[in-house]
Amino acid sequence: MTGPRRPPHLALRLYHLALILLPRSFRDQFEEDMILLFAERMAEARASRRGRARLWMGALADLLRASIALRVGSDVDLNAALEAPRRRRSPLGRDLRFAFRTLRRAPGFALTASATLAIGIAATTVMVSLVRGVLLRPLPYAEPDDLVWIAERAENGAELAASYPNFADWREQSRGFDGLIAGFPVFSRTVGAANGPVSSPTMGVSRDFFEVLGVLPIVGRSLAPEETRPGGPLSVVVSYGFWSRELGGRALTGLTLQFDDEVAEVVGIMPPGFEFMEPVDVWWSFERSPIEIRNAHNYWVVGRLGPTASLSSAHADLDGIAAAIAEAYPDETSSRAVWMRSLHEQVVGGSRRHLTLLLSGAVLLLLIACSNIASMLLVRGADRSRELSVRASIGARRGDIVRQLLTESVVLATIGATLGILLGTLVMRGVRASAVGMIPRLEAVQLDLGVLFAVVAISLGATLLFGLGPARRSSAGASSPARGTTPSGSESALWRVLVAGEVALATLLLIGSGLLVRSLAEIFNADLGYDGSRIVSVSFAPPGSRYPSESDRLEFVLRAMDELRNVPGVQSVGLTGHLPMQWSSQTGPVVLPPFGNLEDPDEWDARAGFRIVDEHVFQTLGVPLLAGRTVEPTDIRESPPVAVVNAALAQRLWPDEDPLGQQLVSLWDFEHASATVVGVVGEARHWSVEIGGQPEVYMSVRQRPVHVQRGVRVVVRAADRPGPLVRPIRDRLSVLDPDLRPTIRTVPDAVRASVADRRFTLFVLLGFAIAGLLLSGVGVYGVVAYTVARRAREIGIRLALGARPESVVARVQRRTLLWVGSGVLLGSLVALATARVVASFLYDVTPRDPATYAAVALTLLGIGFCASYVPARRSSRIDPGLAMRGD
Amino acid sequence: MSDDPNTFLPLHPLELRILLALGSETRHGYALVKEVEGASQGKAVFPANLYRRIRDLLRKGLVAETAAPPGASPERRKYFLVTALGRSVARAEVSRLEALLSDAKGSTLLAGGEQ
Repeated sequence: MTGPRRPPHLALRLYHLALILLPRSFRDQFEEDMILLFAERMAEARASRRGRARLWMGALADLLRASIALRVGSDVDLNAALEAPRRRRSPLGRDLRFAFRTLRRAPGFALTASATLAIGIAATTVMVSLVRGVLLRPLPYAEPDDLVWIAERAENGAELAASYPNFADWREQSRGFDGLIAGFPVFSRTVGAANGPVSSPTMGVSRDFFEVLGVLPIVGRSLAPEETRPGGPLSVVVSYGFWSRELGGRALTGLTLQFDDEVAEVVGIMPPGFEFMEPVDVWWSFERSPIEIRNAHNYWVVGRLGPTASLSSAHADLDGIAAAIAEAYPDETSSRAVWMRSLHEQVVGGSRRHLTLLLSGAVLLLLIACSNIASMLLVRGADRSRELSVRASIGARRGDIVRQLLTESVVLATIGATLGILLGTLVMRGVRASAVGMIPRLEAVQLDLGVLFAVVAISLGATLLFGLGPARRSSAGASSPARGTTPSGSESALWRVLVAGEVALATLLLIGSGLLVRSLAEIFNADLGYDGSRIVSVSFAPPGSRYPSESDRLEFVLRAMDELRNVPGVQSVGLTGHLPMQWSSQTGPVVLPPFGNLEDPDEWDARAGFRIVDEHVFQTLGVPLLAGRTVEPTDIRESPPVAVVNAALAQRLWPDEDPLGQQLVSLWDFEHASATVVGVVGEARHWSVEIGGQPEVYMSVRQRPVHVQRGVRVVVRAADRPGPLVRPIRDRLSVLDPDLRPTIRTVPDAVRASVADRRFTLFVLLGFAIAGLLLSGVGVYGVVAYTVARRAREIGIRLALGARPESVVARVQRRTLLWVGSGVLLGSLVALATARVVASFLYDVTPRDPATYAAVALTLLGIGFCASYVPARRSSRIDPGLAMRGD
Repeated sequence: MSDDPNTFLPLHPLELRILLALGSETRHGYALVKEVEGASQGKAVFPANLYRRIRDLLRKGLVAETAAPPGASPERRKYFLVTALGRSVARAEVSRLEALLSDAKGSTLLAGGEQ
């Protein structure tokens, strides 16, 4: 593109919206051009913030003028038409000028009030936009409501990915679907591209994959029928990012790439942002060589409902087919029914709880902000009641005063809303930059204008409502001396409710965030079962072209590990089938003797993770050997199979017996051979920091070298910090084989990534909590200052009668703490009642954790104490004479 | 509509600027703004004001909408050119201003300065 840089989309949308000011006919004629023109001006002004602000001011003034001029008609003297109201000095203009002047005289109030509004508006808008964008927005496929997710349903209700033969039968026999497609979950393959081979995430797809989703390549075509048949030519469709990054954006004609051991023709490029379940660089057809095993559960299945089908009718149809399959192949099936739900539910279901929690935080904050504004306006009204009474007594009508106060509220709310919109835009940008990958579909989320307007309207409403308070009072008691009166019963009840309510809301917010903070601390301190702080994990796949046989690959891996042992700073090196902290799908049934039909789920005694290991890995990871021995170099292909189990599995299978010498079969061992348990090791948390107690089976890599085929994971223990080892390890491996392109990362990084989504929730909630704390502090201060001002006369009398200043201070503070305390109590009770909501987010902390409740209560009481200190001190310095003289 | 240029006088200053800017070539809104701002020492011209004046000029038949010139950017924009009537009105307005200017120069108000 040759034009100036495009301005942010939001600015244009706002400008577009503002064009509503102009008459319809004018908009129809020029709207597009005006937006283009504004976009260009915006692009020019982008460099400087002030330039942008000036542009906005100018553009809005321009719209207002034009809107009047266009309605008055261009044949009359426009200048005169514009001049006329100016000469007459409209009451609105006068009120506006007066409002600005008044606010300028009280900058502290104006700043705090508009900042309060801005924070409330920004936080709420961003969160609601996220929830709407992530949870409620339709998926980016054609007619997304017709897409359903289908999985096999085991007898025990467990959800299993579909096997290929079952999927093929469903596709063949089902009615009611316009199409049924399958994807082979993402795994990395070595793809040779313009810049050399890279390990890229790829997905195997069935025929009609893109057609059924309703998204076709923007360039080229999707996979043709002959390319999705056994023995057909290998063609691939690539992502837009991969095409521009790795293929240099070259033309499709004759474009090929190395795909593991084959050469693939690139036939299509998907539109930017296209994604199915996970980000992928290359889609290829798995139907050229599908896994024809009925109980190998590997495939994600999605169907498109036909025009006459409903979710339930299609579900019943497939259940019938699944039952028939189970009849026909009783020994090979593990399910008799299917699970079916909308694809939308499947994709966003997992994030729902997190976003709901954040949303509740946002709503609490908005409520706090509104009640804060309310109390600040009351304070301000008290400060100004003298001025208002004076104005009333010199002849201002009630209407004038009400209008004046309304104008001030509107000005205040407008400033707050503008700041809020700006802040919200910034925060949104930050969230997008920092949380992509933790929340699905985040890239597409924009600040939601509808939400923005709703939130702004709510805060405007609150401001107007409470801004009118002083008007009511001043007009009711226009002649009464304002300063030095005692607050009336209903008034002091109002502010007490406000203080208590605000504190209660803050209590809720703080308890929620406090519990999550403690929970996260527990997670970071969790015992992983091994010392990961000095571990580097290295994964790579020996290129099949150079290492064709199983033993070649094993030999290469063992040689690579020997090389790594020679890298300075490396303490030990071991091998495992799966890296710590990476979710692995290699969990499968374990069967004990007698070994009948291994495929029959009734025969399965446990489910356990399956990993191949070498003799060094337990020592390298620091996993203790509890009994027997680990695998040894003598456990080779030809010797009797041996297995090592972890304590969790031993406890499950042989609670009262010695596990050593027992026999078992893990179905992940493709040979289904009976292995003798030779050792028991401690528990290492492989899955995630939070999930412990997972049973595991380990077998020797020398005995089962077939598992090396799809790549191995080598763990390296550093003598010191693991970070500096990454580069030397990479260098050493590339000397060994320049095409290896290994993935290397440290376990501390992996642990951080495994709690990343929780951390995101936590940081946002923490932000809310701090904002809530600040806002409620300001609110309490405001209200106490207000009452002290209102009670000046009474306090003055007390002082005159000989009360000591300290006792006056204590009295004011006691009262404040009483109301803050009742707010804390109320908030805590609500928190206790709703403990269930946060319970599922917590790890090793009960939702009724007394320490958290106590800390929150103390913090808020402390804030109440501090916030009331200044006004209380001030009250003790009231000059009794002055106070009593009043006006 | 009258064809006598003098019935259109006086022109609003921005209208005259637009006519002058269109004198040399066909332009769209943004190009007009650049030209006008360049000629008037950078006094900013905003969209609503610009298009309001353009609409008036279109109604009076002093400018007309035209097709995009070859090689223009693909965005759908309106392009404008000045009509023959527009040219004569601009000329008339400039003569009017010149007359006004020479009157002003001869005036005692300016010649005498402060008294």
